[in-house]
Amino acid sequence: MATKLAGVLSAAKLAPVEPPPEPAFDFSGFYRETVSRVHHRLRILTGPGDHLEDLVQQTYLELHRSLPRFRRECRLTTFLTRITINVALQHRRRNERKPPPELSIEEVEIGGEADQDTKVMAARAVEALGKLPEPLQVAFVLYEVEQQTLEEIAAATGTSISTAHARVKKAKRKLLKELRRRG
Amino acid sequence: MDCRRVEKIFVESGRTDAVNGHLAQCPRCKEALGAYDALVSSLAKESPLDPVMEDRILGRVLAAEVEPVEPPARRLPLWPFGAAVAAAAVLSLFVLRPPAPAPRIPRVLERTGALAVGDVDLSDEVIVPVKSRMTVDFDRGLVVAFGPNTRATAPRLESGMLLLPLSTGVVHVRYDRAPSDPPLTVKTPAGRVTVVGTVFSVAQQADRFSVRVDEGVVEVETAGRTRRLAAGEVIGDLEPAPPLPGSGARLGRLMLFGAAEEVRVDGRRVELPAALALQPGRVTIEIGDRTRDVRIEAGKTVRLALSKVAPAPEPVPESEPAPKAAPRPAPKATPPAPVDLETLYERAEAALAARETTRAVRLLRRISRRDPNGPTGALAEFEIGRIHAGRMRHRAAKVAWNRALKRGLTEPLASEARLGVCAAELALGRVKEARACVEKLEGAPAVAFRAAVVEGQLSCLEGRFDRAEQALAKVKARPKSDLAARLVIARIRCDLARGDREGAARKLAKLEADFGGTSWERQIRSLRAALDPKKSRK
Repeated sequence: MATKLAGVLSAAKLAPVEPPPEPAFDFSGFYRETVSRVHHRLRILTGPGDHLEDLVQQTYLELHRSLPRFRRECRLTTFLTRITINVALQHRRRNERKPPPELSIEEVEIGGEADQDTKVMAARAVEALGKLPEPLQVAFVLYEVEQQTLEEIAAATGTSISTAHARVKKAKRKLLKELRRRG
Repeated sequence: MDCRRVEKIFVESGRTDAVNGHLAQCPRCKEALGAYDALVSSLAKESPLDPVMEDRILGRVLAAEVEPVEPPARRLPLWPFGAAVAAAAVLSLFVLRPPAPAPRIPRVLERTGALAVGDVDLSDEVIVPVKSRMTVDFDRGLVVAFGPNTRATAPRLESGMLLLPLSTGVVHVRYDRAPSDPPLTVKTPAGRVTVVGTVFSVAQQADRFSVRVDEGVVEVETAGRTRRLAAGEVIGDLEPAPPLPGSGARLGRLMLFGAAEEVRVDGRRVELPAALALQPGRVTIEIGDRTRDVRIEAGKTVRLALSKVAPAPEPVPESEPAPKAAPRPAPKATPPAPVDLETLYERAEAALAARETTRAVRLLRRISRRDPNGPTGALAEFEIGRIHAGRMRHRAAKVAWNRALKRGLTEPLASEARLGVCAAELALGRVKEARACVEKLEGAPAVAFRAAVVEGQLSCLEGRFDRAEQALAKVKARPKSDLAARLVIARIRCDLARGDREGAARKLAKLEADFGGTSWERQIRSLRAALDPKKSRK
């Protein structure tokens, strides 16, 4: 054990951290760690419904297929985020003729005790979010809801950091404008 | 302040005091921002995922035969090949035997070593990955062992006959048939094997078809001809069947998930992946040197997630009674034994490899807590320091490295840790502390060059530029090495301290050309921000 650790560590440099070669990848473990977040993200982007199970499955199947192409240029979770977004947007485009999914007031969940007014406000805001263009919605959800950094959003959406930043700002501005208009 | 200005501040900087002050006076803005906050909090709340659905999706994903995505090939004009393709098709009809589909290995399963099967029911498709085996005890006294790299459909009743379609791979069958039970037929692309109460094996590997009979008699039908095979007779070449368990009523089911090296159920070794049909009651499962009592109920599936465990002790001879756990008053599972340090370290390494640094730090902290005064704890703290330094968290890195040194970290890692502390002090702008730290580093050959880089940067901050030049001139770095990057960064910082922005910009351009898009990108961005704070304000 000590020899192994010393070997690993003596090869190490101070910064940045270099990954050890050929790591064993535990797909099931990764799935269990991330599935809840993926499900939640898909629910936000496509609305609640029975289709979520299929979309989660499709996301992980895509991840399976794409793993050989994963070049470790970003974190695996970022890669998964990118796949999730693509799956969600594909689903939306397939169903674009159908009316957009809407959360009913009963389905709006707010942490802690929330009164009916707050729920109404949230339902209205969810509707306003649905009016935003897709890239802005994605940027907003990743930044404001999931608290991801601009770097992570840029990697997940395949854009530059400045574009991600601009999208977040634009999404916030548009959303506020829409909320004012409705209020 | 007007509403537009407040909105702009909110978009740029969030809820500042100025925004809150305005909200106290403006009900319209208050309502809009209230709805905004309600939206964020409603979306941020994750509803728990149904565990049954979670398992179901995982089972389906792992069971799916996944092909890697290839880039689309360039489309070529097809007409020149038309005649050749048509000729080949006609030729193949008359001359060539159509080849059986090659066995397609589920690559994902091969790589992850995870389970291929979910809960197997009649008529389900069974896919067993390479290096794996699965034994299923079906109803009607039928036990089927599916060999590695096998694809088959679980038996189904068809025209009064039990049909087991085998696409590719090997199945070993034990069928204890009562007179009223239907006969069983294994159907492959090349032939059919019909049995009445026997033990036999059938293999379909590409275009090779083999049958071996261990007990009883079977009828083999290939290419329209029927032949009887008695016990001991073989068509093709096929290994004898592994010992198959006796059949039992399929009342309960046990599934084992994970990477355990050896699992025993009531003292009997179980190969993974496995879905076992067990009689109802309490079963003792041994995983390595630990045991767990599990209650098997009729019609229920018990799932166990197993982590990697140490190899189990030598198997007990059959003459001795199988080791059993002491009976417990309640059928509840015992809490799992604590994971050993080596396993924890392996997990931390795997997390690091997957760039899951937060998880790696969490695991390393566990190691550190478990071994507060030992060498492993010191190594874990050292690793934590490296991770923090890589994420530019200098204060946390410094704390971790100091802790590692206090716990007796040995050379050459101790020098690395001391150098790291100096670099962190420097990054935090604590010049005095950094100077005291660098002086302690003298005479450490393992980090001599890097110490010279730190010394150079420090001297620049102190305004002693000649001394800085001398220190940096000592460093011999290979082009495009990490040390070369550190050297250039130190020179850029010196230029900035001296006020030579042009020189700094020139060197930064070279640094970007050599190291842009690599793990030095974060440093490059920070230098870019220092050079031009307006452009990089994000």
